[in-house]
Amino acid sequence: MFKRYLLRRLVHVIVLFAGISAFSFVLLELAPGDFLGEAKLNPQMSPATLAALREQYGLNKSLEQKYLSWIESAARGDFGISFTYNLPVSKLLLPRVRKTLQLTLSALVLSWLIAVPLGVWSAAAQDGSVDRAVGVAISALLATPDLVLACFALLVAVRLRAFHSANPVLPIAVLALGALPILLRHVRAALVEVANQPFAQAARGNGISGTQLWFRCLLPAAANPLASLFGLSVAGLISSSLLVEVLLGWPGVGPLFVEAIAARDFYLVVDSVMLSALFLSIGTFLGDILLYVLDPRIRVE
Amino acid sequence: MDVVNSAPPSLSVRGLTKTYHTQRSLLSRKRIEVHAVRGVDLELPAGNTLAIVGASGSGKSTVARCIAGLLQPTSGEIWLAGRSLVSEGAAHRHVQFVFQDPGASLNPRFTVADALLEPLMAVRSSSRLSRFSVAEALQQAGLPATVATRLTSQLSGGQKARLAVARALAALDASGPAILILDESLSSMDLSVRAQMINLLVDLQERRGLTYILITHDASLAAHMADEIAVMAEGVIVKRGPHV
Amino acid sequence: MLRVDDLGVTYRAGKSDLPVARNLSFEIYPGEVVGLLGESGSGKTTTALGLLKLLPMSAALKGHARFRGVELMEASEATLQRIRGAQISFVPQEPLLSLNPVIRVIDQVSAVVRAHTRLTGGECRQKARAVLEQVGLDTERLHRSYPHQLSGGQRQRVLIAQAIVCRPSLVIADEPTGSLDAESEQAILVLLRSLVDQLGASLMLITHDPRILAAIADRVMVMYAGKIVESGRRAEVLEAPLHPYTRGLLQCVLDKPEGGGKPRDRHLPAIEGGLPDFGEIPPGCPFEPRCHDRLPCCREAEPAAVLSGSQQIACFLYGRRQ
Repeated sequence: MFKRYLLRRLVHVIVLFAGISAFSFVLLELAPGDFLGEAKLNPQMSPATLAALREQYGLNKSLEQKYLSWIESAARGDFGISFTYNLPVSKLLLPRVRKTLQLTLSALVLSWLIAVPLGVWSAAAQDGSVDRAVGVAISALLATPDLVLACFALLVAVRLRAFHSANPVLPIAVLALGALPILLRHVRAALVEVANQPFAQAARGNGISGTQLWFRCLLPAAANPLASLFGLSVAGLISSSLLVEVLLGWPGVGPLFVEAIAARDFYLVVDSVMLSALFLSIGTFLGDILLYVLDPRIRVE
Repeated sequence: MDVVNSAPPSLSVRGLTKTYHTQRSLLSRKRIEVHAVRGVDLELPAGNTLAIVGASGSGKSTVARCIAGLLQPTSGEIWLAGRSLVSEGAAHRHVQFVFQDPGASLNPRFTVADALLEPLMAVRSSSRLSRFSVAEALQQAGLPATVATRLTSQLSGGQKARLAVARALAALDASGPAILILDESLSSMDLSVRAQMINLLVDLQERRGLTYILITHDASLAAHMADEIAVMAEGVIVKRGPHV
Repeated sequence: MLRVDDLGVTYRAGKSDLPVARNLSFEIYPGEVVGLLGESGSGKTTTALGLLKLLPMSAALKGHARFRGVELMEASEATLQRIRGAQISFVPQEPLLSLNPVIRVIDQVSAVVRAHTRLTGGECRQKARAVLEQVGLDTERLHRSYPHQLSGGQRQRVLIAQAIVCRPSLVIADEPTGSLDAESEQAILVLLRSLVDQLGASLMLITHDPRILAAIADRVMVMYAGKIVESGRRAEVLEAPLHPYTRGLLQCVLDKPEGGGKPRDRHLPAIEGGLPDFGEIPPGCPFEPRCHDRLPCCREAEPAAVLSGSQQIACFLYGRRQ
């Protein structure tokens, strides 16, 4: 039964991925200009040279042709060339991917590790003064855009002379803080809802209380919405990491991506988007697996 | 009693079967067949009460839903006063279904009057609408006229049950046979409320010649209310008669 | 063992107070089965939850309830947690809703053990396994099931297992046969009686169906609109009821058919009217508006409980008004 569920979710993920790839191709095509746009303005370039370059870079193929040839070469492991750097894209992206993953995975783990216990605590202490204080802090954090958060962190770090662009602590902290409010709110809401159900009262009636009640009885029952949230939190982290990396100078995919967009470095952009889509799909897939493991009701066909 | 028995049968069911096909999963080809009802015959004269008794899973609810037109039978015939219910699809005009916990089938945001008018709006029969009187319907069900403007959620359990019956009656076509199916409707009621409901149902039957099909697992309720009892097990009727 | 004195539960809803249970006084002795008979809205479940202080914050409790030397109304939450499940346990209604949907039944039973003892996980499971077998769920497959995979009767047995695993002295069961058909009902009642006898515990059985109490109760208390209107030995209350409400209620019970075949009047001598709204209870006896035997004094004051033989009854027809 598990295999069938996995297969179903895998098909989902593949369709998702295909959809994203096609969609991003279309968007990129729609964006005005291409890599050689700047070169066109250069009076020293003759139209003939331009046309030849275009041909070489494959920029005058139609959208479908570009898409299909990309898929074809990707299947062979050839992800295209970066026009700016004149290097294969994979060589450029791979080291950067490692850096980005270092940030996002750590932030993922950290934010969930804080959100779950804190969420349990505030649900258990519902409407107490602590709960309210935490609620206010979280709302403030939620209202703060990632940009502002990153700049603020940067400011503080620089003032404290503690900033070093190779130190991952600051970017991880910023990412985690950015992701925390939503997670915390959902954890708390899911737990409060579960705590009002008849079986929670029945458990209390049997004398179950404290950490045993919250962590071994109520949290598993609240896992369903949280497992779905897991996939979404991965998505959120990927998009925030872009911004944070650029602002804090972390050598991940983010800065490269931004640069590539500005330069219309087609394949670099496309492949970066694909990479993000891949992480998103993996995150969603992991969320589905988590759901299967945590909620036995999903297992009923 | 004799007069009723020699009247032409109102409801006639022949060879009713209902088989469900369920697939194991999205990717499997194997289908499982569930034979919920395997050949059931019934004769029910107008104005009588039939009780179908059985344990859960015996198929009694499925039979009731087929008669009410809520389910399409796999095979078999259902005739009501000479017309086939299955092929004509007009079952709802003559057969109404009252569910277990009748109060739960009422929309809590409706007023009592809305709840009564709802089935008439659904069939869009302006002639029936103009002839319908909320006050009269309430009175027949033993409810005071003042509840017409209250929300259904504000009624007591007993009042909700009465309203569910009144609504079922409102949905029936006044001309022609009228059958009310009660699927475990009296099962989880408080005893005093149930007694009142039984009295109401008996009165209505006497006054309007209603026919009842009572689905229940409670043998003493069946014995009290029914002219005939059919015992079902595993999709077939295993015993039948005025007393079991 | 349990002595309740003048217990009252009042819900605060906005500006009004709803007295859901009033002036409840009764005793439960070791080893007996006491039935609490009442219809919806009589306050029976609220009474039980109130004893264990499981009611929401909006409920105000007053009065006394002394259990084995502990005053429950003044006990700390920690003391109550120790008592719940281990000395007084509660079997709630609606088995499907009262069980955790994502945890296997054996783990749900061991959770109760873990809450009250310092045994290891394995030892808790062992105890859980033993008690599940005692209630009739004896295969490993059943133990490892989730609640939605079990039938109604099986779920009820799991709830009972949870309630007895720590060998309590008092088990309170709320409508244990509510959603079950006739055979399962019988089986559960037999199980309850035998378990209670084995444990030497007392059982308080809450129900609206007198037939259940006729089967296993020793004493019966009848509740109406938040008050106990009659109590006494089972045979007396169920066969020779004194209070007009009890009499009316018992007349609504359907007997097994005697056979015959003669057309009989199917009307029942039902009690007219319905329960009063809790916000609008008039002074005087709460049953008075529906009572056939009412006296003028019934409207003015509430009757106190008096003894009539070995039965206690709160009605002006018996005994004198103070």
